[in-house]
Amino acid sequence: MITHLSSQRLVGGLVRALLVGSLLVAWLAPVQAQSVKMTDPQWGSWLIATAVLPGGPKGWGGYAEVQTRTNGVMRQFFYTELKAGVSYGVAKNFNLLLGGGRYSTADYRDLKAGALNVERRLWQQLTLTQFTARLKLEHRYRIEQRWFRFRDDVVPTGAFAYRNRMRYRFNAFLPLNHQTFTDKTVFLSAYDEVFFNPRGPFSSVTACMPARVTSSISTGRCRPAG
Amino acid sequence: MQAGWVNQANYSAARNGPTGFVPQTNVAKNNLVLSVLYRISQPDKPARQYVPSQQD
Repeated sequence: MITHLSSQRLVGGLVRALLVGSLLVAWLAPVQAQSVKMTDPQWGSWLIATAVLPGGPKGWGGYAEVQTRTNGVMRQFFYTELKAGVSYGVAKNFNLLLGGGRYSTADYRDLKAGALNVERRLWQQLTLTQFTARLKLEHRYRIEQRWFRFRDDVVPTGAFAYRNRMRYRFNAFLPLNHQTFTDKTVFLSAYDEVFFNPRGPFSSVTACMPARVTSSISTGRCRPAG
Repeated sequence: MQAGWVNQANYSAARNGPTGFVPQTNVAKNNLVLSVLYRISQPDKPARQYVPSQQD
């Protein structure tokens, strides 16, 4: 009798395991079949220099930034950004910004031929910051207007000379050796940003909304000014 | 100063192309990020709390 019950339990367990396994396979298989993921095995690099003028008593501030990107780490340069913005602090946690910039993309294998594309961009931005206890959270909403100028011999199919884009970034900061950010603060930061293109890039399907996601983890240190 | 890692992924929606069904694609690249952010000091003005956010 005991042996019979044990056999029943064993069979029952096997059936359950098979059922769960089948469900898992059925759940995973279509995902693999309907999505193609490609990751460039080569790491690139982003080098960024920013000067920030914090908002004064009336709330007005600004910033300027230069950024360059490379296809390999510190080599195969192909991209530059120059941009600046004027900010206005509506309240302690509530900032508006109007920015503009120039973005140049080249072929790193043929820099002498000039930029493949030069983009000029304007954007309007709203930043909400939560100084909650030690962990600080930031939500950034951005609407962009983008104008493209391609090199004469570059004709991407279906390219648009003008496009809009919307972005949202969630950023968390954890100061390690102080409660708030001040001089000589070592910190950890992580963010995730989604980009939405209301019109597809280089696509004739205008109903689709391709997206970009940028995830970052970084560590840093605040140094005293001057 | 900040040093970090950025994973940038471009998603293209699935569509019905001239050669048939084209699945959603995700093209990603990892990047090393080095950043210097300088806050212009204003010693005569009251300091407000801030976060060292990347402007990007």
